[in-house]
Amino acid sequence: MGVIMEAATRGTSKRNAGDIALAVDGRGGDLWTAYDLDFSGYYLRLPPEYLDDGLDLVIDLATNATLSKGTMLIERERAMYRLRGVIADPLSSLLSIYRLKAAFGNGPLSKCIFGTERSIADLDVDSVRLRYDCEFPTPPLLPFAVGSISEPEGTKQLIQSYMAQVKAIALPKPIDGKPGTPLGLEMHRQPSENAYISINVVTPGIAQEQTLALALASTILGEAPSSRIFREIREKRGLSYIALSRLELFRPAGIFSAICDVKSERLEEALSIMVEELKRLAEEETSPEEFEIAKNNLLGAYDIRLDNSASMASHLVPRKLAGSPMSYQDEYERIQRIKPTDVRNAWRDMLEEKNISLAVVGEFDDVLTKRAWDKIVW
Amino acid sequence: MIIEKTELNDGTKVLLAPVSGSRTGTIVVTFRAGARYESWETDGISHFLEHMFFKGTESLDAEGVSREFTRIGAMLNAFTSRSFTTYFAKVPSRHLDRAIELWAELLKRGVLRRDEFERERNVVIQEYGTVMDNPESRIANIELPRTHFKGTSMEHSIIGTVEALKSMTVEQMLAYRNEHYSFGNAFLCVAGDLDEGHVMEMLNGQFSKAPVGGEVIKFPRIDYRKPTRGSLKAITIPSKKDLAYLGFLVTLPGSHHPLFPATNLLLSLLYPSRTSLLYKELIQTGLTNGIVSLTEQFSDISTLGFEASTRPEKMKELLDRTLIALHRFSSRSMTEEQLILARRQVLGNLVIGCEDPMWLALRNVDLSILHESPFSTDDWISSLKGVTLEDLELAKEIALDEIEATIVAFGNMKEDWTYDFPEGTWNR
Repeated sequence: MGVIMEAATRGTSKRNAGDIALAVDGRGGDLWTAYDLDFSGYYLRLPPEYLDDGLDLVIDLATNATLSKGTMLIERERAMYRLRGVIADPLSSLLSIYRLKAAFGNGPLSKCIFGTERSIADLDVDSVRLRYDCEFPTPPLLPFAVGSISEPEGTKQLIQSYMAQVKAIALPKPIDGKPGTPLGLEMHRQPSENAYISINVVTPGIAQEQTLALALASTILGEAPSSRIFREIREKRGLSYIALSRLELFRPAGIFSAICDVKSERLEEALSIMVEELKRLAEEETSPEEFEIAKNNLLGAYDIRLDNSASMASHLVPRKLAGSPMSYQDEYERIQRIKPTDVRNAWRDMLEEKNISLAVVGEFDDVLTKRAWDKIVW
Repeated sequence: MIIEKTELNDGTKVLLAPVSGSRTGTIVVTFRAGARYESWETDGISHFLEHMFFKGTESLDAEGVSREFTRIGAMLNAFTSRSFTTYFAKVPSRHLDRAIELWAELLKRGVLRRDEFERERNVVIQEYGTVMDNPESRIANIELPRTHFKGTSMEHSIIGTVEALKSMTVEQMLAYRNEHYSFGNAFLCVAGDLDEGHVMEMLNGQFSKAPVGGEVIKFPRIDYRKPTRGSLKAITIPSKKDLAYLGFLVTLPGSHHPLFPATNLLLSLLYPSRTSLLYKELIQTGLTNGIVSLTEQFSDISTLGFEASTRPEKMKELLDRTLIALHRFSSRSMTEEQLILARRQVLGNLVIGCEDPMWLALRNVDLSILHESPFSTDDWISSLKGVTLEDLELAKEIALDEIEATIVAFGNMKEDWTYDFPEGTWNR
């Protein structure tokens, strides 16, 4: 998908590459493509007075791309560079490849969005163009406008008029079936200074209400300055520079990951501390003070996002595309109502599912790492 | 936008940037403390000190500091550059007063505890490992500046060396902090949803008795007209990483030069935007996936710098195309269209950035450090608007007429890899 998305910015039936570049740079804008396991999108950030022109441009890119063979070949080559850039960096490869493989086995969510060396080399440019021609003339296209919009009604009408021209609005079917069965352990050794580890727990998908309690669980564990993993791994022991967690949500499922870098000889220690913290959250109710602090932090993140249209767009767009019925305000209010018991229960449910896995990349002893992981009882 | 430049009762320089419609407040404090002030013995001390800043005060331990910022929903962070260290917190505006109190607590009553120092030393050494593990950050932070600026204050990397980090002492850090972390060496900016009178009252109340310090500290200067000679360095990494990286650096005038605004417009025409020269030459031809800007700016010098990755066997082609394109660009006169495009692009980016008070506050202190006096985005916009076609032409001549580039080629290339400048470009 990355190849098509990038190639579309090289020309449409209305604009050549130079026109597209000028339509962005000439207004001080920023255009980027984003694609994950469910959706692909063009994001264009412009000064507010150019909103109408911006809408015209992104809809043109999504529906009228020329995709010449030469451009597609160039983009195939760039896709290879993107993938190799990820592979060259152990942390990036942990996040984009091995963590997903560990969590989702061979299921559809285990795919690296950058592809594989094989899939890129085998990409038949003609068949990709054919697929684009078949699928995109009636695209499952949803435009969003986020930020400083002076006349929302006018913008809405403008969007509707564009959508009338592109015929259909239909959400594609979610990825079918189970997201995949965890492999348990995925190790990849490569020369590096550090080892990079990620303990992963499979969670419900993006539109599910439990994800709000899980977002709070992740805040307590590793997404705030006073979070438990940061405190225990980095502040108290100085084991890692990166010591955090993240909750990433797709439509059929999500993935919680506790991540750190560590020297090979202290990998087992870091692993056991992270595991203890994950278990403790399921076993003990968070103290009222720690809970309130974490909740304030998560709600603060909602307030802070409001001042940045790009951050707002990247929060809202995947949720709306996944059919989430909750508005931004709904999410905020529901988080306010969450209690410590809700977080413990939601987190315990996740651990009881036993969809837990470990991914390790970099310099480490694979025999010792496997032994340490096998010893852990969830 | 109207950004107010003012002073606290003790003379501390403050910029206030109210943003209508905002629901947040950001407070930024920047000190003149960065890699350019360091010796080999203290290599990395500015960055290490940045880590130690949040490690506690007389009344709060490290956990307490984190807890108090988490409680108010702060997006809290800090970063060190070669010439300054910046601390910032963005909070919902209802918590701005508390954020100011916490910054004052850290600045007035911050302590360096020996046990925390030892633990954090390990964290910084771990961070050094993450820099070395990422080829792009290794080139940008270590290999390229160390080669290009050998023997000057610019060769120090921000992260430092493991040797220096291992031997650094609490006493050295205390001395460094006392010298650099005074308000005489700082700029402060508050931006977002704010009542200016109330904020000034808060700042005056909270920051009174904070160390003001004596003279403004300056790092050792470099004369851009006598740059270190350009050189070519190939670093071969025998690995399975089937990607090679190009780092490219040229010295340009700094912010004190009258053509500095023109230089900024010039750079926007060279990389990395979609209309830029190198985007067309390198990305649209499929030679690389992206161009990462490594431009750094100071009062004495700035840099034209970027990195790009490609297949090892295409490194020569990537370099040839880069040099031929830059040479061709240098031999043609600048046009009115180029000036208009560059100005629209740079000013538009400023407009977009200003929607976020955090970005705005960071930009204001960045500009002030760069100009060595309070300097706002309003001032910067005026400077950019004043650039003429003649200025742009002169900036281009200074930048590209006699190029002294340092080029680092890094990756899995043949060990005897060499490179000659293409025929017809600069004399080599």
